[in-house]
Amino acid sequence: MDPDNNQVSNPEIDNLIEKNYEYGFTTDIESETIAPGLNEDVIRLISKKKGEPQFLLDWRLKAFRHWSKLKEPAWGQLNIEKINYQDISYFSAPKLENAPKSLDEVDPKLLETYDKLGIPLHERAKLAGVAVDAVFDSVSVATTFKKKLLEAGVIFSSFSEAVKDHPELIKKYLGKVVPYRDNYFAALNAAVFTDGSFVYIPKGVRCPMELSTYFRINEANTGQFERTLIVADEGSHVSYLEGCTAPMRDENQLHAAVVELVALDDAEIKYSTVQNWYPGDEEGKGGIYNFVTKRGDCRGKNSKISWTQIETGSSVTWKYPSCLLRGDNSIGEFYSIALSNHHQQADTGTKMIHLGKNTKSKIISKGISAKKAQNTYRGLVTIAKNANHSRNYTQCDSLLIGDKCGAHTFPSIGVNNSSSILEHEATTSKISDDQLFYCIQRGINEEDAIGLIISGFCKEVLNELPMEFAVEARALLQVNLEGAVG
Amino acid sequence: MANERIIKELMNPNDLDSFSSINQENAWLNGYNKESYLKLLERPIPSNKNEEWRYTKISEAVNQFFLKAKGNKTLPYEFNDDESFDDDIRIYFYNGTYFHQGELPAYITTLKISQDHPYFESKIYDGNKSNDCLINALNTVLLTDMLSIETKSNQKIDKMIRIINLSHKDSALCPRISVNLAKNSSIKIFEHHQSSESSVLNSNIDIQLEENSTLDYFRLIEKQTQSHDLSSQKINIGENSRVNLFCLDSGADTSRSNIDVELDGDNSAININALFTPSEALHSGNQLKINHNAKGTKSSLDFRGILDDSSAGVFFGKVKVHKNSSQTTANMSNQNLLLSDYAKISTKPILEIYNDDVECSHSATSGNLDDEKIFYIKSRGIDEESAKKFLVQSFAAKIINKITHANMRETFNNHLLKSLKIN
Amino acid sequence: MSAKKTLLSIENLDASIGDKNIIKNLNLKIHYGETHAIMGPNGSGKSTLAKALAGHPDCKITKGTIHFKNIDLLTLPVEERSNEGLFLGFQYPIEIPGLSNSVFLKAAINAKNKYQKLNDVSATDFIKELKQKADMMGINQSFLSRGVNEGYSGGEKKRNEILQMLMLKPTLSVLDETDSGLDIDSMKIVSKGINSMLGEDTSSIVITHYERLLKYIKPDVVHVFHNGRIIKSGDYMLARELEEKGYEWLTNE
Repeated sequence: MDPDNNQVSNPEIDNLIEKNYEYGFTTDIESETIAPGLNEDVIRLISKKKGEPQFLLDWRLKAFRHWSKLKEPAWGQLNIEKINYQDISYFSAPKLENAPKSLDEVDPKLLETYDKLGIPLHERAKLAGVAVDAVFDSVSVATTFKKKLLEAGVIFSSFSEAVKDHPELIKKYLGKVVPYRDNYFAALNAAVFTDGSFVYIPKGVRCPMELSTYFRINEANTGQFERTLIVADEGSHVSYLEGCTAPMRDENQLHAAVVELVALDDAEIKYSTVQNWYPGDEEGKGGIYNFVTKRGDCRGKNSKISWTQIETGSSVTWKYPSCLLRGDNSIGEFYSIALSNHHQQADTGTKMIHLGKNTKSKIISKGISAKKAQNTYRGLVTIAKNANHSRNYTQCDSLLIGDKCGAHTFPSIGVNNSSSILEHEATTSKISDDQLFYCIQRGINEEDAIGLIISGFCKEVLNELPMEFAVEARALLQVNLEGAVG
Repeated sequence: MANERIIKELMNPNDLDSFSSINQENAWLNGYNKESYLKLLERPIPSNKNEEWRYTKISEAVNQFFLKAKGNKTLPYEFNDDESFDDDIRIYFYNGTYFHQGELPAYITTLKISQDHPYFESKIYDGNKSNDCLINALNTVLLTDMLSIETKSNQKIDKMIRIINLSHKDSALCPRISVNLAKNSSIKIFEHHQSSESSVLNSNIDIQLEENSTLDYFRLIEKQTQSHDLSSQKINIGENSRVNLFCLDSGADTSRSNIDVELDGDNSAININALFTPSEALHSGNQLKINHNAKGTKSSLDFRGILDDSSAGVFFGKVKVHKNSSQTTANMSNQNLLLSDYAKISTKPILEIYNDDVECSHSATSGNLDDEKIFYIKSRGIDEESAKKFLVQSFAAKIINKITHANMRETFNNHLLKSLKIN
Repeated sequence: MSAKKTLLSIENLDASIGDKNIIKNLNLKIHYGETHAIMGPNGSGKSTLAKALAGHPDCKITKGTIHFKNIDLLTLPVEERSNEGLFLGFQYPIEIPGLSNSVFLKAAINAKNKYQKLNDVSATDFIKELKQKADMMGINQSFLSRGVNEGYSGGEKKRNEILQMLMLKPTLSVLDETDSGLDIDSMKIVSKGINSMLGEDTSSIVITHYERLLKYIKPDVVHVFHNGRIIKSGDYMLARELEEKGYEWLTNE
């Protein structure tokens, strides 16, 4: 199919748009945007429109009241323009009206990037926010996909659906890992979240495929306040992919998502993210504020939660996917690449809280800053008194390209028993002139050479990504480094 | 911080008059005491919400400082200084006064013996201005005497300048030292806090190095029982100059050292090698702030903690490389041995880098003695207890062996073994 | 030849590491003056035997007995086994930075003297002997004041193991793959050291993969280990045969 010739009048597509409303509400699209502002009435309205049970509304209101009392945090390393929370519209259905009708209307720079990334033609339109085609192609995928999951007993749905279909699971797990009191943005999210994903893997089930938001058609434009909850019951296993490797068109300035993971006895969750929201232009104008709270609860014995993230987008990223290692012998892992170019600011890292005995955690963080970008690793590792025989290994390396960027590491380490072993290593340096010269002497141009060196620098993290994702991630790093030299 | 108490809640403005150790004779100095006190009353006592004081409970030390200040008594001289190396210059701080036997060389003066008040006044003024911290403010309240060490250009002094702080029971002491090294000069200073009971020691040192000069600075803090040891060291280093600092801290109820280093001149360098060995329920807190402000600067921090019983260690190191300090090297390491299940360590090795032409690293470890090493030593016929002692010593040896000054190496090693209860 | 005296006697030994049973019903007798080579593929339990003899805490004896000089070895802690004259040459010698070789060795010798109710070694005698033996092992004098195995190459570590053996003068040396990672010159030096120890009153167990070390140290007996027990014993010719044919002709039986 040629995406350049998309017409909105396709009956199958109309069908799909209809389907979008199915899980929402039936009124006209245009009226679905609530006027900007935030108060209890707005929250009641959101909840009502989504037909939520009382417990959820109560929870939202409690979160809102708490949030109202909080002061917006000010972080040392981040330079953020003041956000006016009353200027944001907290509920809006997909803005199909404003979306480009075809790829012709899409920013040519974006298309050029897709070309370099080798994104298949039929996917480009979806990524660029063209209202129709991409979903069309994904329908069949989505259907076969859902059938297969259903057979395995896996629940994979939008958060809204889950609230309707499995309220008991939502009630049991929502806000248990990231309580609304956790931080400013977690409280805001709890009050106003509109949708997101819900995954439940029953006991002993190994999820038959990688779950990905990419294939969830109703995921498009779930908006700024996304909420994801993944529960892996005893002995189950799931790998979840969030995001995609190409820049997504997005009109929202502020993203404050919450992700909660729960792993019971012997369960394993692998959560991979590739984040490539709009980073703003070369002058640092525009771009997304990405303030995300992600936390995994290794509640059960021998459970394991592994976070892998490739953060190349957004103008400001504030994100610390963490693990609470409560079960004995549980394992937490954090693999991260944060690349910031031009005026981007990335403040990311993790927390590993060792509470159970014989718990293990591993942190591999690679930060790359270029041009005027600032990259900060912030990490916390605590080994509690009773977490005997625990281990942590942390390695965080930073690479600097250009003399106007910054790289900062703020590790905080606490060890409260003598049988545990902790190792933390960190280095910061510029890209090696010797390596660069070696590559260039072999006929590789400087930009490609930097790309090669960077992907070597990031290898340990890239290796954690599912195969096909890793290839795209490599290309992505290269694309995002463009203009970093010289 | 909302829940921080203000010092005023502990003290009232009139209490100053009851600080018996304050020298009432010097009106101008008394003015500094008073000014600092009144300002202090408005200061919050940092709580654990304050990042820099997170793991050091300072309120009890501040409380005790004022209590002891009220009850300070002048006692007869009664101390023993068993380690004597004949060549050393020895200066004691006791009862709030610096004293010494025999004549002091020209490059050392004390406020008490100097006629030049404006000179000392400018030092106190500048020192307070450049180092506006809680420890400095407390020091100024009880400031009675001051030691000034000032070299001339090209002056190289081989003698060790030993400064021995003697605290007696129920005292609050505030020694203050100013060190200025002129071009091409070098000196060696050994600051020794002898063990004490039920006292508060608040020491301040302000160090400045002009070009091409070298300071070897040794700090030895013996175990302090029911005592608090607070210290602030402000160090500015000029072009091609270097400071080598060795520390051994055996801990106190609160032992807290703030080291602030400004690498101001091109190719200036700081080397800090330190051991902290608290036992029982003692605490040792080490805060370092290193600013690389010029080209080709180097910093190397190597801190090793050996923590026994229910002691607690803190390492907070912040190395900042500013925009124009290219060709910077910064290495920071904090390794810890936890010998008991009740011991605790908190470590924060922070790097803030605003320049790409750098080679920086930091590392931190924590663990107990390695079982394979214990087995290896035992397999050679040595019993377990000795094997463990060997390993603790070998862990500390990495620091001790970096001391090139033979007498100092011996002194530090002896005190280390004493602190670790190894004979 | 007079009746030989037994130095080491292993009977019906089972030993495990973690939950895994590695040595299964092993029987082995070594007389004074004998050199036994133990060969076998990776994972056959050779190193576990070395650990069992030295008393490594990871190695649990679940069945059987070991008698050394007629003493029940299993009742002795690690250091006393050493003081009784059992030496283990480690396959991977441990680095102990900051603890100098000479301090370490002197402490070990004095521990043994104390165990045997002898006086401490005199410092001058000790240094003299250490220098002489270090020369023999091709170890530079400057190494002696450096940390134990600190920054040594593989070959230097192994030569240092043999130096420690020469200084401690054990009755039984158990050398766990001392030849691995050695170049030909080091191999000659190491075997010279081992041979200088051999006599009527001492014995050794040489654990190795390859025949090449055995060319220099002619073993009296060669055992082939497989699955935690001896599957074949013979004289030096067995080692030659293994070198030519590999282990498969034995293990596939």
